[in-house]
Amino acid sequence: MSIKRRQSLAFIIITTALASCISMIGGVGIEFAEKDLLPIIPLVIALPALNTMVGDYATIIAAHAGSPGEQKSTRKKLIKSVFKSTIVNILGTVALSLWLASTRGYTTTIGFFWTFIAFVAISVSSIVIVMFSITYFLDQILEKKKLNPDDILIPVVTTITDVFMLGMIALAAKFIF
Amino acid sequence: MEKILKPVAHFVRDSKIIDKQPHRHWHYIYKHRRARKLLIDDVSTWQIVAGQVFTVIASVFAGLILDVNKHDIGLVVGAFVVMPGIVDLSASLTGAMAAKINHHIDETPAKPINIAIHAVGFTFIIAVFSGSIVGLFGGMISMLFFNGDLYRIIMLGVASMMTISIIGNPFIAALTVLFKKVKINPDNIVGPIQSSLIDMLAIIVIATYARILV
Repeated sequence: MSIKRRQSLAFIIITTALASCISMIGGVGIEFAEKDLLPIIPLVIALPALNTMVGDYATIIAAHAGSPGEQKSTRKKLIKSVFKSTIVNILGTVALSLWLASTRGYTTTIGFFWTFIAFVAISVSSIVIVMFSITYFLDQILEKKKLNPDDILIPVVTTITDVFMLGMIALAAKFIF
Repeated sequence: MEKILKPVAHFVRDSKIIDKQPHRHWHYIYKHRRARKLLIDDVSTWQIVAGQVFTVIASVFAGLILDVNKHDIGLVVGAFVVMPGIVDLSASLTGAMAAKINHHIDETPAKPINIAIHAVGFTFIIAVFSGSIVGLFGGMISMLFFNGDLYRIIMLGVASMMTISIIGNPFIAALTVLFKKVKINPDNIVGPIQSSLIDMLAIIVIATYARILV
């Protein structure tokens, strides 16, 4: 095995492991709020969907970085698409989570229903806004430093959003619901 | 005898071709996602919405599996700490593997089946090593903040990553080759399927090992 190949293998192992280790900061929040979170069945059911959703948006938005000419012409389209897609996702996640929770014997009160919708809508939209800002600023820094966004932007943005989402869920379980 | 030796010889020859290609994990994820982003620009929002709808339904079902298994996962102190790491790592590795297979089929003369076998093996090696790092890091956090057992969390990390790789990766690799064969770009379709299936599999595997390790 050549030195170059060994180095690239080590690079992949270290960067993938590190990105996942940082995601565990969100896991610390879940472990801290475990007793408060586990009885809230709709929130537990929505957890992977919310996490996957913001992770997906993070990579789509981060993949938009790179060519400045292309960015200008497509940024508006991207914002519109993400906006429409976010609405579909939020409604789908809320409706399915509440329905599945009811099949698991969870009784939803009107107060909980509105709090749940508000939490999902606010948390997802705020994370999407944060992602756009981080991608914009980080892309400019990377361009100045002449670094390739392929290798840095996606792991950084997806990891940050993972931590944000899980942190918000933990805080909501502890203080809102 | 020749029937057995011939495919092996082909695999060795193709592996040499594939080995000459750069191993750029994040680059493949970028390519994979960029294709989905281009889908927004060039075709229509509704294509991405359709993909998202599938992801939402599948990930909500992953949530249902999490709810069913939550008490088992909670049996091992620190399992909730390491869980996002394992889910994130397996999704990232499988995503990169699918994109890599797709692009190696386009860029090299190697046989798709050999490319898939090579990629599954390569991803398994990465999964074992990075799973150990994730387990070690998660174990240290659990030990420091929650009085968890370092050994159990390392075992949970390594065993879960190995099992997810053994079950999930060959399936996703086969799916990628199949879509490629029927002339559908796997970058656009495998992503939502892979991320949701791996989420479900990861939760089931973590819960199973948590039960065994108690």
